[in-house]
Amino acid sequence: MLSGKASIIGVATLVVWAFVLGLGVPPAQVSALDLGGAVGDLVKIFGIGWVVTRFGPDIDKFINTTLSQHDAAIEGATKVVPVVRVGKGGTAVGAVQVMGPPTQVAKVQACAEVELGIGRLRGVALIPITASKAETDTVKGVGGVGVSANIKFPI
Amino acid sequence: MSLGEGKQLGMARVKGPKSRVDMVQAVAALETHYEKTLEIELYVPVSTKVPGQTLQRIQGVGVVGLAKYRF
Repeated sequence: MLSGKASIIGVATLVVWAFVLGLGVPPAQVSALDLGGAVGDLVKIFGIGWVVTRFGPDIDKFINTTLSQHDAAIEGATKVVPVVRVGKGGTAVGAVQVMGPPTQVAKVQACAEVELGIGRLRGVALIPITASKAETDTVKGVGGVGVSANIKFPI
Repeated sequence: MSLGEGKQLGMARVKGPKSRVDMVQAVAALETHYEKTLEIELYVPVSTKVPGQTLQRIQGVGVVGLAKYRF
């Protein structure tokens, strides 16, 4: 009898706690993938390199559509690649869209960035390269390829 | 320069066939946003120093360097 009463109290306590917790923890929101809201988080979690690999073709298409709307479409191939700093390994610090002949653009894996500064003048050289890393002695530019857009990531 | 204003924002180094590069007078910068979050600056080499609302790109020329003066 006592054990039956104890079990009733136990179940009642469990129900009360479940009710309290149910009120305290709202149900998780369900939403479709919204790149606009999530891209900042994706960059923080996976890094710019991953985001460029995953969304690069979409961003490339978006840029080309925007350019077409301004009568500035690019003849030739385009591609979105990560920007890596020379001598800093393969960590992406940004992304660019490169343009040029299809065979040359296909070779580009990243864009090396070299910062230069003379007084108040700050310069950045952008060199499309065939490797995903930019070590000082291995930076070799891809001929005929230039940068057509600079993509800034929220960090 | 910014689109439609002809206001100089900085300098750009361009690369391409000599005949095309000779035609370039400025690089127009057009700013847009992808999915509200990513800020994208588009570079369009043009043959005028004051571009209008539409741009006539000098094909085959790309940007390989950017410079800005820090005030």
